[in-house]
Amino acid sequence: MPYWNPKTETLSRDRLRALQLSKLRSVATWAQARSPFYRRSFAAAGFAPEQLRGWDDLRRIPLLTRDEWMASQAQHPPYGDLLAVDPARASRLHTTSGTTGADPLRALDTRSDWAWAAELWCYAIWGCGIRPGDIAYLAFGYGSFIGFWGLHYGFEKAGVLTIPGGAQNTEQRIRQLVAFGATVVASTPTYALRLAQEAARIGADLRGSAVRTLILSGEPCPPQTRALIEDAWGARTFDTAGMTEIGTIFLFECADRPGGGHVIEDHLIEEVADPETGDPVGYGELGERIVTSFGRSAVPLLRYRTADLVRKVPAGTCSCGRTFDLYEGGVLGRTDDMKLVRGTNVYPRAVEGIVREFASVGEFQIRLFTTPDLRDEITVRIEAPEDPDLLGDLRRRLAAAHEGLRFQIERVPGGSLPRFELKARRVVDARA
Amino acid sequence: MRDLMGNELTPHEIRLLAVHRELVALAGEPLAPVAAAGVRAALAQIAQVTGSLGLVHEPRDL
Ligand SMILES: [Zn+2]
Repeated sequence: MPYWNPKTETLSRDRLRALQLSKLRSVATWAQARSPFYRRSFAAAGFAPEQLRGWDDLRRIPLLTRDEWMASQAQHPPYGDLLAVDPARASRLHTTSGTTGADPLRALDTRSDWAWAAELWCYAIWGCGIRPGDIAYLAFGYGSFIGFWGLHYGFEKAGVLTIPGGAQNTEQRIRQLVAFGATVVASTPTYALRLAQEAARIGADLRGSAVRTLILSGEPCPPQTRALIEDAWGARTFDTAGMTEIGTIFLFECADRPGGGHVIEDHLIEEVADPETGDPVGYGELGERIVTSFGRSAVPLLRYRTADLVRKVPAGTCSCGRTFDLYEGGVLGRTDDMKLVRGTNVYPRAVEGIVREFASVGEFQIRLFTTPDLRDEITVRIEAPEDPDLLGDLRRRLAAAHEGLRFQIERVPGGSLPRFELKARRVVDARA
Repeated sequence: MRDLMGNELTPHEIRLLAVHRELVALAGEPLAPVAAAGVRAALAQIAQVTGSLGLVHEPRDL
């Protein structure tokens, strides 16, 4: 059985819409009854849950932004008034990673919410072919950042032997996962590469290990990075994407690996809109994800603007038989991580994709700065061995992909750039 | 009985929904901690089954 939930994963689109609309009504009614924030925002927009009669009524629900959630948290500490349950009824507190420098969001979950988080991870676990009998190693620091916590519980639920790899350094994790015969490893793409580099340094043979599957999450992952990871590990990678704001994942890649991930549409509504105008965009067009989650009763999320950039394609793009639409290439970036350099758009994910075509490059960093004569410059700093052709080749590839924009390439000593276990921060914008 | 998509429930779904309903009822009873905690934990799990199968969808502060 390739599906975790054959009933809904292969539902006709009409029936799937009916299921989503029914769940949407109950979660909107819950939010209205229980959350002061939603009562206010619904009233201000002239919206009431009873208006949800057909699919198009979804757009009557006001959009929610992260700034509004943060403001609510600041005005009604410690959790804000989106909250729809008494905090005394909650069982978990997790936070966002705080990579944007802002205060992290605090998200509460009830027992039921937490069970839902694990349930959604199970769609991914089962969908990529992991089964009872597998041994899963989570290369992740078990802290207050939500990270792979939900996957841990998903593995347990799916009947997979689960090894928490917290509170260890990279070398210890490699030795453990090899010694325990892990068949599955979960980490960010950045950390999967780092584990491979460290394994090479200490002489551990990952390709000869039992690992056959890597579950990646936490960062956009260009195909070139995946190819490097797969080559170093001798294993297949499966992309997933989640966010603290929903407490779990919204996307998973199935065993057919169509070059993107299925949206878990029986538990979520994912709209894609033009980030400037808010108008919906069609299949194949780049836009911002807007998520509505059905499963988190403590923090119902209705039409939340995620700032994730995605490109939705129809379910039929994949041959696996699921009727859930896909995001081609997973999450492609963030609306707020695009950099404008001398009139040219630069997306860090695109730069990473090109850097990863050069297998000798280890860690890298993108640095933007202003010259004394007030010109914007972009430098890619790389850790790489001496190679007379590398710098020029990389410079030409980057320029060709960016309308001829001049990139400076700077070779720096091995080990001098920051290392990341969770979300990598490789862009330093030091412009005046 | 029909699910949220309008399908007739299967015999297994009818039994799963009955378990869910029984746990909801028990969660409202004045049980000893040993039973109350286990019932709440079980209800959190069965709610995923009935929710994922599209039988019912009932947000709950449990
Ligand atoms: Zn598929």
